Amino acid sequence: MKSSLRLKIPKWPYWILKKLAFNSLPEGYAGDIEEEYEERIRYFGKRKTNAWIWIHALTALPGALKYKFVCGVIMMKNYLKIALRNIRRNKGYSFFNMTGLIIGMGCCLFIGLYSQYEMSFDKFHKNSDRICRINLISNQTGGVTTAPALAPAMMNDFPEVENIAQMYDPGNSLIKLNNSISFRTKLIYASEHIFEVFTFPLINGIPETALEKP
Amino acid sequence: MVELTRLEEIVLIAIWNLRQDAYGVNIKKKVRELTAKEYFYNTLYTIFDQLIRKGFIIKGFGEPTAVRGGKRKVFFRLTKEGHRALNDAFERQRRIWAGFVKETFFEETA
Repeated sequence: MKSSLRLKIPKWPYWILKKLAFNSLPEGYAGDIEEEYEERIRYFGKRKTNAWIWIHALTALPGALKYKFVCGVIMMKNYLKIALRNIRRNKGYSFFNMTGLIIGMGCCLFIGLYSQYEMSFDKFHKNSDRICRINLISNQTGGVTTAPALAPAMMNDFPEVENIAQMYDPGNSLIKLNNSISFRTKLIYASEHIFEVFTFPLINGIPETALEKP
Repeated sequence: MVELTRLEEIVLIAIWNLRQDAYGVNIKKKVRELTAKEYFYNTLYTIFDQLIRKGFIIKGFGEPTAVRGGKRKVFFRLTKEGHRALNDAFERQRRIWAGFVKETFFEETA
C-alpha cells in the first residue's frame, strides 16, 4: 500500500517541494503534503490532485529561488568580510601572496595580448597559417637576414617545405623602367615564387608569370 | 502590545482550537473551516516559521507513520507569549468592534 502510494506522487513537483521548500520544517511540510495527497486522491481523483500538487510546487518556486539568491548574497558578503579580516591580520604574508598573484596575472595578460597582436596581422593571405618566416638575427648590426642559398637547400633537405619565396629589402634605390629613371623609397626584391606563397593582389599582369624575366 | 497579522492571528486561533493535535493537515482544515478559504502549505509554513521566530508557538515531533511516507508529524503548541498575543488581539478586536450593531438597512451617503 505504502510503496504503491509513493509511486503515485508525481516526481517533479514532489522533488521541487522537497528540495526547494525553504521553511524550517521540511519534514513536516513534505509529510503533510503526502498525507493530504492521499486524502485528496480519494475525494477528487488523480487528475485534480496532481494539478493541486503541481500548483503547490510552482507557487513554491519563486519564493524558494528568491530565498536561495538572498542567502547566496548574504553568504558572499560573509566570505568577503572574512577574507578582508584575514588580509588585515596577516599583512606581510598576504602582501607577498598578492604581489605574486598580481605579477603572475599581469604577465599572463601581457603574454596573451602580445600573442594576440602577433597573430593579428597578415591574415589576408590564403594559407596564412602555413606560412613561416625564417630569420637570422645578426648580433653586430641587428639586421635580420639569411643567406640566399638557404632557400634551395631547404627545398632539398626538408620534405615538409612546399614552397619558398625569398625577399630582400634594398632600401631606397633608382629604378629604370622603359628608359625613364625614377627614385623609389619602398622597394623589395623578391624571387619568382612570391605570388605562389603570398596572395598579394596585382595591379597589372598575371601572378604566375610576373617575375619570370628580369 | 504585540501586533499580529490577520493570517497569523487565524493560524494561532486554529492552533489554540486544535490543542493537542495541531499539525499541518489539521491546521489547514481548521483554517479552511474558519475562513472558508483554501490556503497553500507554502503560505501556512511561512506563517509557522514567522510565529516560531516571534516565539508564539513551539514545535514538537510526533511518531513517524506509514501514511506520510515515514515522515514524522510536526506538532505546534502555543507558548505563553502566544497566549498573551491571542489575548491582546482579542482585547483589541473587542475594543474596536465595541458598540457595533449589525445593520440591515444601508443609507446611501453622498
